[in-house]
Amino acid sequence: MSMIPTVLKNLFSKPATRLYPSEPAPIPENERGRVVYDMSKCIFCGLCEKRCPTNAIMMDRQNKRQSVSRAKCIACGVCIESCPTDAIEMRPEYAPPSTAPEIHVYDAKLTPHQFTVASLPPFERAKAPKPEAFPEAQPVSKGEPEAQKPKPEISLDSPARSVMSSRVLTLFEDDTVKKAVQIMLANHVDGLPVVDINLKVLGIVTGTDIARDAGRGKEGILTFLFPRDAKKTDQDQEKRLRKTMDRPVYEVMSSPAITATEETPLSEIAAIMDKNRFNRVPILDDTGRLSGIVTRGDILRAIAKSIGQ
Amino acid sequence: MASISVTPFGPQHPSLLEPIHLKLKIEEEKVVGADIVIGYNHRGLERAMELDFKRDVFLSERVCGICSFHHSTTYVQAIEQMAGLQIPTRAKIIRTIMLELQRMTSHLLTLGHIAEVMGYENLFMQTWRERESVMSLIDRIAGNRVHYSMNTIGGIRKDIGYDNTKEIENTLDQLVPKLEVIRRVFARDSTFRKRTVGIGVLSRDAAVRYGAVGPTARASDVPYDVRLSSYAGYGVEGIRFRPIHREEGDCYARSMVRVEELFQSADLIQQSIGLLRDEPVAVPLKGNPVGEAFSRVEAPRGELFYYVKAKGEIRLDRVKIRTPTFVNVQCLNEMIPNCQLADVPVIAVSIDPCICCTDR
Repeated sequence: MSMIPTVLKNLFSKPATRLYPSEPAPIPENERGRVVYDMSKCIFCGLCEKRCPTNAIMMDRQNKRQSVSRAKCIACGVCIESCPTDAIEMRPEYAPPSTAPEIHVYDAKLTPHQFTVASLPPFERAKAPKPEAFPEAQPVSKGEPEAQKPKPEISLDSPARSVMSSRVLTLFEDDTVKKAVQIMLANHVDGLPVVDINLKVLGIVTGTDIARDAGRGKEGILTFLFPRDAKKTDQDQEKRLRKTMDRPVYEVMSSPAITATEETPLSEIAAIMDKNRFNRVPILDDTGRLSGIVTRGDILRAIAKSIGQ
Repeated sequence: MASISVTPFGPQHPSLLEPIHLKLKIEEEKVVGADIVIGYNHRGLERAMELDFKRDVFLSERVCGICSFHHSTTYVQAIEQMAGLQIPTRAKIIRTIMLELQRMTSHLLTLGHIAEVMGYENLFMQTWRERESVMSLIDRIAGNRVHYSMNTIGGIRKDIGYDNTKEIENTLDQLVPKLEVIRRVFARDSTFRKRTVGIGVLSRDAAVRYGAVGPTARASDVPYDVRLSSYAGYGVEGIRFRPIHREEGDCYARSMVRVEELFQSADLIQQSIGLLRDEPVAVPLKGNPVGEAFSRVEAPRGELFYYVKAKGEIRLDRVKIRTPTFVNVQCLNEMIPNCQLADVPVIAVSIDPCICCTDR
């Protein structure tokens, strides 16, 4: 009964809640929102990078850049206290939501407080982020013509690094076949390497692998690949196909994958492809991590160029 | 004679905010016993804290979200004791103010939670509405609602200005009458009393035997409060303080101890603000700490204990955290037998379990 006066009072008073987002929450003046650099004052002493409790700040002294990983920053303000030139300040504002961990790069070439956003694509998250890996910040003056680099000659003896594509679409081993098919269709590729969290290649999934798994039984591969040609697609096969779609890719993939290093000459890679009837070969870097992929198309292009010359 | 069946309560349960697992032994509708399983939230924080003693000031805040300042104060006090730092009185008093503000948010959270698990949603919303005013006050003072980041080894990183002290006083002046309304509901409301009076009784002997701390112990007639041992500002002359305790030992007593402590906290903050003098708020730390030290703080849930051993390097040898819920959760063994199944959520929440602290 003692609640009734409060209930009656609430009935005739304004609601205590706020109509978010049409009425945003007030942010106090000294809110610890986000760290902002004034690059005209920064002397690149490195104290902020050294003292940051979560290693959110990365300094690049050569290119005169400071990067702040927004997902790591806990807004404690230690960098502000340690800065000898007051180049860092805390602003009472929050960043809008993003789909990937955002890294804000402050460049001495830009105006003070201006930054470019570098987001790591999912397959690079496992690698330790280094400032060198960030995309070039847009310089303010665009008048300078870029120095023309002489293009290296490509022949069958050149290393795999010269032709490989370094942006590789990958799968984790517990992804479903359905996801693999979706990625293949959306990106017009026929094979995807399967990696673990450290980018070690576990195997490779191709359209043929999936077809082989779905078409096990008397119909064989051709029935799945050319369903119109087949006289009838019985219910068993549909069921099997559906089952395949829900399986994890590690049950379907060809493993172990035959790989090559960045230094392997293209002629050797072509020999691997010919011998094993592969369409693509994953390329590993010195540490054994996936760094690129060479397909038949890449080899053909190299041959075409060497003939053209 | 019905046979005993085992019903799981948690680790995922609508009434629990955090994962804890109680294996309830049930005979018809009566609960005859419980096995408690913890460890679902283990993050290895004690080990992580051995890496760098300066970063630990911020890491210790992240042991728990609702008593973050208590954790960092306890850790910082241990290092200060090791380094032999005499911190200024102003820093001590500011710590006291923030500790008590956080106790208010924590107690209001728990009281709302108790009301919610018994189905009293209205009271839950009233409690949390008043909590919001304290939370936004802390936001304006410290710059963040949960992690204040105000402590540093040797004092306070961020002084509170004249405006802020005025703001604290104004907020408390408006808040205390509203809390009076809430106290009346908790004390007299028949719905609340029917679900709490005589339920989950922890006798004085059992409380002493299990080593219960905090409001759980004080509701069982054990007037034990670490604030009596004069850390931070509690030993400063001019701050008067007497632990609140009750004799019943049931869920009602535990709730009422927390309600009374809200007013005690408001009183302590008002006393502290009067004692603020112009002084520096921090002394610098020279070198790395050597030796070992322990420190105790009365967190909202009870006695919080840190043991730190250092060897004169950035790395620490050992950090041991003993949290209040770790002891209090064992008292459930004494409270749960002979209650109804429907009362188990209320009993479990009435000890204010913070599993985040417990599992570390």
